[in-house]
Amino acid sequence: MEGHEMHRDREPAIETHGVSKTYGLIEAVKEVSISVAPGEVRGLVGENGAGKSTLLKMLCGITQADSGSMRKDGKPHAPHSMVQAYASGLSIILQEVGVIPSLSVAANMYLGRTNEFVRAGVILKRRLHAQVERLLRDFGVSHIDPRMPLGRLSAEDQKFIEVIRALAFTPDVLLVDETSAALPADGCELLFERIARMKADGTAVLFVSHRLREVLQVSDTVSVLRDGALVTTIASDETDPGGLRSLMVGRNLSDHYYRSDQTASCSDSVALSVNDLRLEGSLHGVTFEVHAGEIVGVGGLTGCGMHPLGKAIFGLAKRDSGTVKVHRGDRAIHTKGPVSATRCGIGYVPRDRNAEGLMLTSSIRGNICLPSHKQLLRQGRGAILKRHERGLSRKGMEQLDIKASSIEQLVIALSGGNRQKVALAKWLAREELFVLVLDCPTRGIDVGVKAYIYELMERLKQRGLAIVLISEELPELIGMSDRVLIMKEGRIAREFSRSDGLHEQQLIEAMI
Amino acid sequence: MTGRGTARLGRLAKARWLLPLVGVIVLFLIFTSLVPERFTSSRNLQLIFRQSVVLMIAGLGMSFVMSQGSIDISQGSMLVLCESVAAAVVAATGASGAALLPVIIPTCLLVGMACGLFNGLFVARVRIPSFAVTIATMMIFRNMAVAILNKRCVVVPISHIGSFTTMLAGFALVFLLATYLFDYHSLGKYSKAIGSNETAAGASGVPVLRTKMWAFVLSGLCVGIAAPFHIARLGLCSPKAGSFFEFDVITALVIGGTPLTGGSSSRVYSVIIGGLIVGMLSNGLTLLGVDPVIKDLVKGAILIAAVALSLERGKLVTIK
Repeated sequence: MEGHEMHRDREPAIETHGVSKTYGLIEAVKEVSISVAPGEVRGLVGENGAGKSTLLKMLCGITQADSGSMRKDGKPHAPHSMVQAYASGLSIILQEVGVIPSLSVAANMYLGRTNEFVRAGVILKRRLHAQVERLLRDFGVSHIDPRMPLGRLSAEDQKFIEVIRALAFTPDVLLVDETSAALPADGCELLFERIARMKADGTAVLFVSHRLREVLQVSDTVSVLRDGALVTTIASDETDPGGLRSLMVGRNLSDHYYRSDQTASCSDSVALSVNDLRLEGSLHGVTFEVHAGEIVGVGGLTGCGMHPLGKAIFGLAKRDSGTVKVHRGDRAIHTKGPVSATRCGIGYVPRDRNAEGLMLTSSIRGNICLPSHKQLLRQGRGAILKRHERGLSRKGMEQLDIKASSIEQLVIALSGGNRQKVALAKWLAREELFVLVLDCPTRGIDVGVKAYIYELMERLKQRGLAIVLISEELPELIGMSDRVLIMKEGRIAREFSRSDGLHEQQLIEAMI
Repeated sequence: MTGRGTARLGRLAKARWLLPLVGVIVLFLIFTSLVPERFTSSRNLQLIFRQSVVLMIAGLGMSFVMSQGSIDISQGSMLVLCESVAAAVVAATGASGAALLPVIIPTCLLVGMACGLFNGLFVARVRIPSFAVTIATMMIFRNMAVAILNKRCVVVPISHIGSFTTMLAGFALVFLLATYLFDYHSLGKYSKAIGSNETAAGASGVPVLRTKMWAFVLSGLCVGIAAPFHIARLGLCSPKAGSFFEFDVITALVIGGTPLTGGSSSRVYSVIIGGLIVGMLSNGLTLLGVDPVIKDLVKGAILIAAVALSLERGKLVTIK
């Protein structure tokens, strides 16, 4: 990127020298030395557990390095709290929610910085609100009332406020941690536009994201972390998402990251038919069929209804009208709620696996065996015996290569990728599984495990399973589906076939 | 989750069954040394069991409710309602002698199940938190009982089933059934799943509504099974029977290691350990001549300690 050469001559805006951090037995960060010049946008990528968040936390004072040193503008930088970091001109947008829902928007914006509005110990609310209103207008979000409790805003608007908070105080160094995943399309636009503006002003930006294409677009250079250590720093125009992935994982991923074929294929028999599905507020008449051995992708903008569709098919959301039928042989079975859906052979992996898909405080065995009681009772002749449970769980662990110490380990101790494998294993353990509805199955999961899940999906497709893939990731939809259904305002707007060649531009046009 | 957090969970799980077991042994040793012959005499040990059996049987039913993260505060009132209806039926049919049991037992069972069904309907179908429903039914059932008994006590001489062997046999039967349902059948596992994460349980095909209803029906049924034993021990049906009974049951369960929030670490046998601890405590302190007020104070203190040790502080404590 132009100006990259220029960066090397100036004093780095922020740099680390051999910083390390160990949590118990885990070396989260191992002697990482990076330096970012003023006006440089540095992308930071790596799998979960690679150390990105820990590095950012050390930079902004949430935690302190065990060894090594940091410098900002040539001066020692060792903040002991975020407030200290803020004061030195460093701002961060966190991955987790960094706002307080019960306080007003204005209070959140000026958290810890209300001194300028204080007279004789009292915060002058009117002045604070006026200032915040000005800021919001400046950022183009004048529809938000500064006095409103922040908890009432949508999750996306809340993230917006966090973004504005970080940007409004014109830091010299901006750290962005996985924020783009939490923002809607136009929110991301705002963020990137601002980053470009700040870059021109000489701010250094450190940008962490799982979305590799996005990182390459926004950043000048990208640093790759793996297992806590810095692998390399490379210019964005010298690599591509595949190259980054290989660096992140440490081995050459096969060319066939998604699927190995380019044509749509499926059997003639229909496995699932959805007819005129209606759900108040989200679905206004959805009709489609899925054949055995077919992967049907479903995508769209936020609020198009794709997530409620998954819930409605499985019966978690009680539909107002319409039918969902599973076809076996020549019989079509209507399903009503999750119990009948399970019995008919539908499995569902929800988007929010921690809150809805797994019992975190139960063991792997407890989670995997849960939908399979009928077959276990049959096996044990009226009793669910431990040895049968163990057999079923071990099979699931092997089938999905779940990395855990034993089937008795609590799911909460597993990494995100392994947790998702448990969520999948529990459906695959069922003898009678004909349809699998997956909602964002690879969200927040490492590249290595993602590749595994895609491989698994292709194997299941070849075995004859019908798969509904609801996803917010266009590359995933394009890479994996035989057909893609684009939803808009609760209806299917357009259908695309894999054989015709799927392009992101086409899909986006259909979504808007 | 950090390594620290999961290690703590592991220690917690161990503490849950280890501590109560240690508690039983320690308590036994303490009282044996303080009041040697009187405590360990076979008659006294049998007495401890007989005093706890009503509690333990009811507690077996309560285990299902608590493992779901719910609570049944109406057990004491269900007990007195079962007894009052039984007394009324006895009076109406004029049964006596050998005919008493065939009248009392089915009546208690039916009334218990009916009460449980009532609770279950409001918790599962109408979806009111169990705390609210069972406080209301606690008052409703008791007042019904008082009205039926006309505020009087009725003598019911069936003390022959109050013998140690009969109670032991009855308890063993119920225990075996409860263990089967809890550990070897769907009901217990589904209940623990609901207690762990109700949303995820529903999303895994667990019949949440049905499971919740069954738990409350079982709670009522177990009270119905315990009621005849209770009548046998007291020798009569009293409108004051079972006051605070449910709290004794909950105390026994929690001390025995059942988490208040339910979930996968619930065990069906914790009611036995808890019941024995409470039973030994009452018995031992009485033998020592301690004031009954002090006895209750000690029980309360141990309950707080047990809850404090067993609470999963990361998890939101919402008693459904």
